[in-house]
Amino acid sequence: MNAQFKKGALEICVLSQLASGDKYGYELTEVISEEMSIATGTLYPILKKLKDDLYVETYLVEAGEGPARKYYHLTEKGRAYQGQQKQEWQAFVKAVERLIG
Amino acid sequence: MRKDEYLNTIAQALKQYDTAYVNEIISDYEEHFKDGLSQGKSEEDICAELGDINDIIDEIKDLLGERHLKQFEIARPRAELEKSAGGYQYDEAPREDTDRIRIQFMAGSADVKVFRSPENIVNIYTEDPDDMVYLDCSQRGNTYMGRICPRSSAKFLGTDILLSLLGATVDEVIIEVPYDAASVEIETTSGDVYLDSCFAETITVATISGDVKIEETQCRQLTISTKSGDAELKRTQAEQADIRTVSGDAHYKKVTANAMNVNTVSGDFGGRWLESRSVYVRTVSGDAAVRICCFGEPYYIYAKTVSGDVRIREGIRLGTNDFENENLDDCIQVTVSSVSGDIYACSDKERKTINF
Repeated sequence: MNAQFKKGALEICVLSQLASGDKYGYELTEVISEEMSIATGTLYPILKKLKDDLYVETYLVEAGEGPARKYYHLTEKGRAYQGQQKQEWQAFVKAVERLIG
Repeated sequence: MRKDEYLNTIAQALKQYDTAYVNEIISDYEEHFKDGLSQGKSEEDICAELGDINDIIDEIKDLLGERHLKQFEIARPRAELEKSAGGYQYDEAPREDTDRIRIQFMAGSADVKVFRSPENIVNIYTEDPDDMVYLDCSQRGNTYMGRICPRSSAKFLGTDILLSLLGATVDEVIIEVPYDAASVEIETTSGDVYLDSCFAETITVATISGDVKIEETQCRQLTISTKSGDAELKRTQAEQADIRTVSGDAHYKKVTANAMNVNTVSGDFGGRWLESRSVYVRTVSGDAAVRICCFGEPYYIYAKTVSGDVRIREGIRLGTNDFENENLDDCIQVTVSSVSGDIYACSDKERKTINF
């Protein structure tokens, strides 16, 4: 699959997956990897940036033995952003489909 | 590759960036490894899944941008610099951030001119009125963000996926900023950036090949970063000025900066009338000419070059080739190091201590 396509779409994929429920990092990489092969390493900088922009919050959950696990949660602001980006994506896809005929 | 090597390589590549920020990303990866290992995957497998390490590093650097770079080194111990009186001080005391304007603009290949707004508002417009349609500006609270859209609007999330190669659109963008903005950040690829009479707390200009010229401006923190563009500062004052170039030159004329920090590979650093109490210049092959004039305060100069020349001249040079030095009764500390270049340092007045 075209790398450029993936790069642009990854953020909206992450946001939408979080919209359906909080997830921890590894879980998110698995869910996305199921649909496309990606360099899962690129997801973490994306998550960090979403957190900086306050679209996503993190919290820790004790995982028995060993360090706590970090969960990602979509904030209200993030939810609004996700909705907006989803619409933009859909409009974009339609535009591309019209152009490629 | 195994986990430790993978993560250490990333950490090393990001050494210049804010440690706390980078550590958080690294610990995210650690957690990822832990989860993967508990599923029975091998470290090598996980490294392969995470992806090409250079791509990851580039991704992280893109996200970090210039904002999270570690504080630049300065010649004089920071605590001392802060304690010493005098020097330039940005007039306005820091206020609650929410009050003040922040401006971020990405101009690509367009030139950017930034002026102080006569009406004390934010105003972003293009020189050619027909180009206004290519400006994409938005405002979130007190933050104004803008950029130039490429000709075709098939862009998504800032990534111009298919139709990005249709050439430059806008020639010049003009940005008016009010007095005492919190921050002005301009980024271009090849456009030149010109600031005139700006008064803002933080000014950051980043370009690749554009030239940067800053005149009559005052700020607390000035950061200029170019690759091949030149940087020119005239009649400008800052508490701290950081200039970083690869091959561009850096020039100053009548500049005051309590801490001036210059880092270049092959660019030259020179000018006239630099008032500073801590000058740190580091070049590989460029020349550094530090012509400092400082009144009654001890100051530090650290100049390091590999093959360039370093000239340090102190005092005010008058038209008649006379040197006139103010009374400097404390020591000046000059640290100069050159591998194969020449070093010239001259000072007319006797000093109690000069350390070389």
